[in-house]
Amino acid sequence: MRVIVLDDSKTMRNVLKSILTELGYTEVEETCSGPDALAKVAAFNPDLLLLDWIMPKMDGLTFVKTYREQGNKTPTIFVTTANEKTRVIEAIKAGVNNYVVKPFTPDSLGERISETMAKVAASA
Amino acid sequence: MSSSLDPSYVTAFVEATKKVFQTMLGLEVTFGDPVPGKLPYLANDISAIIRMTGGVIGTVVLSLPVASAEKIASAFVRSPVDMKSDDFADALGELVNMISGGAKANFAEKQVCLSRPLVMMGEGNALQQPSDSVSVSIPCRSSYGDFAIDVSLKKVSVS
Repeated sequence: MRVIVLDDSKTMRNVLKSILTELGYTEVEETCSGPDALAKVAAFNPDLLLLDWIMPKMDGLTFVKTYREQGNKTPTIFVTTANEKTRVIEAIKAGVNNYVVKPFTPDSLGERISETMAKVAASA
Repeated sequence: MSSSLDPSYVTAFVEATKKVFQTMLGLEVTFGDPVPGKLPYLANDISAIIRMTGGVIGTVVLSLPVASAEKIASAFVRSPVDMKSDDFADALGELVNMISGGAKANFAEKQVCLSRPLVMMGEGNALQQPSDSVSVSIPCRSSYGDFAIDVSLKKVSVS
């Protein structure tokens, strides 16, 4: 499964990539901004996107809206903090499929990914 | 606000710190009795700082000696980092952000905003807070070394 990690923090991208590798997801691409992610998706053709919310240039909400307007249906998981949790409903309305709240364990991220992919497969 | 910090804030920070270290690092943290802060106070060598504004105004500092900070940052990024690495400050900033966000979620005041974190490095730093704030230092103990969560808050009314 191909995964794109979109986060403006290099450290968080590294943490997420490391956890994804531990979970067995070895095809992981990283990107630091919404515009860069939009440019990368066509070439990488991801099965899943993990995205941060607060980013310069384009925030997570604008990214998801733009991504969906372009006809992309790839499942997206919003990686958020308890501080931003109140915006989850807004994110779901914009087209995010699921969310995970930092801090999280590798197992809880893995469960959230499996749950998301199963839901998307069931609704296809 | 009285001259001592409302225990519910201390509990919120203790619970958030425990959860962040347990989940992101697999590290068990135990806590000593909170110590009322004297201003200015001498911080540890590394201070990851975040500001709160809105219904609660103040500062949260994850305060660590270098040795503990390097072990904790390495565990967070899952590879060895020292204080010269870019990942070092980012990791500690992420941790104080998660701790503050987690604590804030349990505040009675819901309109609280967090700043982007910053990390201060160097020996003998003294941190000064506004004199109308109430400060407390929460001692934290772990197998990676001791550290502290220093909280200084001023509660305000939001219309």
